Amino acid sequence: MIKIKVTYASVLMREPEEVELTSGTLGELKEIAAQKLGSVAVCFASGGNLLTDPGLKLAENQEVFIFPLVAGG
Amino acid sequence: MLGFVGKIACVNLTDGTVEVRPTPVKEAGKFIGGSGLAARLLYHDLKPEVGPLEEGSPVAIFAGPVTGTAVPSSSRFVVCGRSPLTGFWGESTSGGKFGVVLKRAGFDGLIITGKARELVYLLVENGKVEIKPAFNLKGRDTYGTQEELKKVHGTEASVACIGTAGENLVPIASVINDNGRAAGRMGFGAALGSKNLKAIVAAGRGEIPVASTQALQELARGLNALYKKTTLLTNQFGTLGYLDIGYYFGDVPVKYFTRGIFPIDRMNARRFREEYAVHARACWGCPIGCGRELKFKGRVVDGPEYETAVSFGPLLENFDLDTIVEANHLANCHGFDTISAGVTLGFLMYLKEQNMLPAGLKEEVPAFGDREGILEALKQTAENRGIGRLIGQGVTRTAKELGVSQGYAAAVRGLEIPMHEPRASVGQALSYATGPRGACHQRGDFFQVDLGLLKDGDLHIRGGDRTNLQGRVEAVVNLQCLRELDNCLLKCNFAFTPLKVVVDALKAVTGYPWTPENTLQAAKNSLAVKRMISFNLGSSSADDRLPDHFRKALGEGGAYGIVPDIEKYLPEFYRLQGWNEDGTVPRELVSRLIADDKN
Ligand code: SF4
Repeated sequence: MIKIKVTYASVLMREPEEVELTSGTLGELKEIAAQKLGSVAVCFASGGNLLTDPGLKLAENQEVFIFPLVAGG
Repeated sequence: MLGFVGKIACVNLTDGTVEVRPTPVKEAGKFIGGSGLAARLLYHDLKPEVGPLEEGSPVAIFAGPVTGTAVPSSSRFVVCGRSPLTGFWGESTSGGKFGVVLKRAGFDGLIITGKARELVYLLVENGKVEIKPAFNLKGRDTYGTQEELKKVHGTEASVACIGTAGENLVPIASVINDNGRAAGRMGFGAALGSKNLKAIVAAGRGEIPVASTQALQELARGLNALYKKTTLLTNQFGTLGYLDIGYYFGDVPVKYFTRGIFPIDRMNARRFREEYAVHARACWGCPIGCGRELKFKGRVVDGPEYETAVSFGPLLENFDLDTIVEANHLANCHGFDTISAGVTLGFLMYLKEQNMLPAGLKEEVPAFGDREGILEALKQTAENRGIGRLIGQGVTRTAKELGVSQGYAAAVRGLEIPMHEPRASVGQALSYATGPRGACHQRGDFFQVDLGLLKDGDLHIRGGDRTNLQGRVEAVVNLQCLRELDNCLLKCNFAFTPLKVVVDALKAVTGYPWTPENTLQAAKNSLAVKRMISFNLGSSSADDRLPDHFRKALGEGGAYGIVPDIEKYLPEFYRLQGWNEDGTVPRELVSRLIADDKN
């Protein structure tokens, strides 16, 4: 069990929070995010890098930024 | 080939003649239409000895084969020719409904040359083009001009016009239509102004023929549902919704590209929504609706989109929302480009801070963050006076006039770098350096690929390491091609369409046997012809680079420490585009593309 720190893009209208993960993987965070955000498709990043591999192990206190598709032209 | 309404009007404003020619649909097999077809048709007429504001310099205003069809977000038109800002090939698209009504009025495009003796406007209606006097519109802003012409021609008409900036031949002047929609970049407002052409009114209800209504409707149903779902937040927040996402990755330029952090909470999309009564506005036939209308000081005004909010915001170290909204409104009213204006003003502010301005000028230029100074400078831009004259001519010419190294001028091929920091994405940097009109975030928007927001598996376009393009140059080339297709079809690039879907849409509209291969080749043809035009007008492969200002790493923010080394990727980029090793376009390709095919 680990705790990570999650921040959201402002358009997702959610305050930063700590999230507990049992397996500690990105895949698990993706599932939790899907429950919280419903059908909005989102991406994940940490330390300025995109996270895509569902098997990736996150670290205790790691900061993860969750953001959706918004056209930015 | 269907999708076209079959006619192009060639208007000579010097002698007041209008010649109607058939749309050369055979060329559409090579270039699809829109800006690609326009580039082909203008190829021989864009000459180095004819300046962009001279009578002989043509301006083309084209819709594309999918404009006005059931393809979602397909309302767009393009204005193109020799750019008054850069002197090279230029094109700028806009939404609203003008492109649709132009086709319904019976024309795929207009090619305008010459210069009227007095201020005029064009009435394009039911297969005819008339030149009408516009002396009563002299000095009117773009909203007033549209209102006045709609009183005469009805509210269903669509008006594309210039404001005072265009009349004053400001090189960054834009063409504004359907309230505040803008063919903003490259200065075509000045090109119309140089022809004494204040506006074009399109009116008509003609049919736009398509090959398969049923196939098109099925495709549109699927795409509309997809866009409604995937772009819900763009609808709710507009493109400003991207601001804090871009900020996280260091994609938002700050203080003339010298910093990477600013108080983001003072101006994100949520703040805008809390501050103003905002509602969404969509172009014709668009399920996304990225446009904003705001209540501001008792008026309803068009709200700033992302590019504008950053150009007049963090880039100038201004975080005051009212100033940004007001500056955007000024630019819309007077008709000039917000990106070029913001970058050039930022450049002057930077030079002031670095003590690189002559004494008299230094006092005139506002400091970073000076809200009143920003608004005053923009007013002067529309009037082409004071420091506004420098802002209005863009960063490249201003650097030259001040005797400052071009290395400080944030531009590629004379076009100012938009609001996506090239050090945040090496792929974006390569796209800027090789873009067909200069530094352009629309061809392609690789920052979105790096953020995992755009994907096309068939074209190997997928997210990856944004600091390194090893093995991904092909993705940059393919995204540039995909975005080139947007301007040929013409459709909005916010409605992202993978190649497979582009091909299906083109087949359903035109009935032509488009395949992924010949469609991608058409994009490459279009890019090649535009490059050839720019090279004929004095550009070269030496311009495929970023200014030295971007060779210094930022010391903070999400782009910290990254310096894009794009030169090492250029040979592969050229090869994949089908160009020579030195970046020139092969002669045999040139001859094949400009061979005079008859209909
Ligand atoms: S996404 Fe925005 S710019 Fe594009 S067509 Fe829709 S409303 Fe117009």
